[in-house]
Amino acid sequence: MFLGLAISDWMIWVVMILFILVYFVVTERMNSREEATAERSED
Amino acid sequence: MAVAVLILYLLAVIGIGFYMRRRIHNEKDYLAAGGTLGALVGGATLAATQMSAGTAIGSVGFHYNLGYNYSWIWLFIWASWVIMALVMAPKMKALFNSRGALTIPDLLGTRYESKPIRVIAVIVLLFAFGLTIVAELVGGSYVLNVAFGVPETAGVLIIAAVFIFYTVLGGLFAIAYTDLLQMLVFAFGFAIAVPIAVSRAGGFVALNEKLASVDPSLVTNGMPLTTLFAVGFSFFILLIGYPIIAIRFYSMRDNKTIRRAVGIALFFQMIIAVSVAFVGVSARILYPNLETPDLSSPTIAMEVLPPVLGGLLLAAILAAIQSTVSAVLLMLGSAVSHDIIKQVMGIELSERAQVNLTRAIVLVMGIIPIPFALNPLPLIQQIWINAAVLIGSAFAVPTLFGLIWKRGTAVGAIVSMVGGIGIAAAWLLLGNPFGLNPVYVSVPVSLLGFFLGSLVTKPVSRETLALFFRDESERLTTKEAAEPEYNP
Repeated sequence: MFLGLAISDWMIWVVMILFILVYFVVTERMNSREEATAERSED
Repeated sequence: MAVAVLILYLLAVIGIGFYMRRRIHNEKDYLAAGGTLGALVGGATLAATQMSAGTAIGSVGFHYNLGYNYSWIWLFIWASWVIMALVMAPKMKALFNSRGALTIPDLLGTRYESKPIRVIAVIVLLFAFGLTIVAELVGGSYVLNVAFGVPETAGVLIIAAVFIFYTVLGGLFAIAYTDLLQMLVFAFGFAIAVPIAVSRAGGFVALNEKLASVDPSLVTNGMPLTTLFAVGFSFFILLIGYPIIAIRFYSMRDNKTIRRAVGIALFFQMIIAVSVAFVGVSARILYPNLETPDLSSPTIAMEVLPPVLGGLLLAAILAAIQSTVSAVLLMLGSAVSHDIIKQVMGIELSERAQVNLTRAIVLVMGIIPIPFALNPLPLIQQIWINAAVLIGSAFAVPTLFGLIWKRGTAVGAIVSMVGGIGIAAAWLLLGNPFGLNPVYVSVPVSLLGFFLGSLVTKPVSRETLALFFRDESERLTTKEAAEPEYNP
């Protein structure tokens, strides 16, 4: 327990934040890779 | 004061609808905002479409009963969002660009080269989603009644008039921009309620101690983990290819925008997920003897918050309802005007006439549910759950697997849809035998039907597959280059 709440319940919010962070990192990497490919094909 | 905030909100969405009507020049503008939405508006409309009275009232009630851990459900929902964003959306956007696809029956009809599947998809959409409009109207009128004593008939008429007005006039442009406003009101309204409600309950630590004294599971595992996983997994399956969400991908600028929009939708949902949990558990301590847990949100709005913020929270509840119901209404209107009249019956109209026809159908389909909503309907949340089960059982397999498995055919998809929804409906009518969620029966049946039906029938043409699969598209391009068309 931490501040009256079980650690497993704290984990919900930790996992949510990590989920969104990982999502943005992965998709932004995909976006830049696609942009690079598009630029190469234009050249 | 709370009434003034609510009226201001309603006038704002009407104003947006009225303004957005100018941007409608053709069917593509009306049904898909011309495919021009950016990441912020796109993310807001995705999030707002998925969250309804079920979130603003039902989820708060679940937290009231079960404590914090019901929030894990969101992670299952988000897993579906990721699959939709990374697997389905790029192919849907490509179809929008190449063939002007605007609806889910468009996607299925093109992918499987089949008009019957288009008709079946429309029937399923009309049948399963029709009742949800009734449920949302009843939910909204209930909130107005509890908060302000507005007679339920008047409440239904006020809510219906507003969302029908802006949907008919402004189509998806109006829906998307009102969704942005509604999402901001929804997120801000609930987020601002949290510190006030928690502090009234004695502060964060005292709140948790009081919850533990009522029932220790409220601060640990209020919903048993096995149940949580079963419910969460059913949400995960149901939301894959969920039509009112999936069609939003057509309306965004490109794949990069779609990915960012989904991230923004997740962010909005996280704010709301945390807020509804705190509002629910605070209500449990402040008002332990509510007649029904569904009264948690309106009670916090009227009894705990200052009038302006209370009005904002009530506006947030109405926003959640209207954003979903307008999306359903536009989808049902497009199913009739675009899929049946234009695509199946082959009636070609001018751009202006097609838009006006869709507007007329949207208007009629918005009016039809009103008389049903005037008669009290029990178990509003149950209607949504049943509708979601039927929709997911029909659409998840043929939509997702049609986009990742080339061998899928029209027969496989039809068997999958009819088998899935048939079993789901039967399971619901039998009262969920063995306590098993219908999804755990209907989806395996749907999968089996899809694979067997596909394997015993002829695959679709390579030209069609080229619209959905990059290797087929490249093969076609190479072939065309090797055999240039004879052009005297």
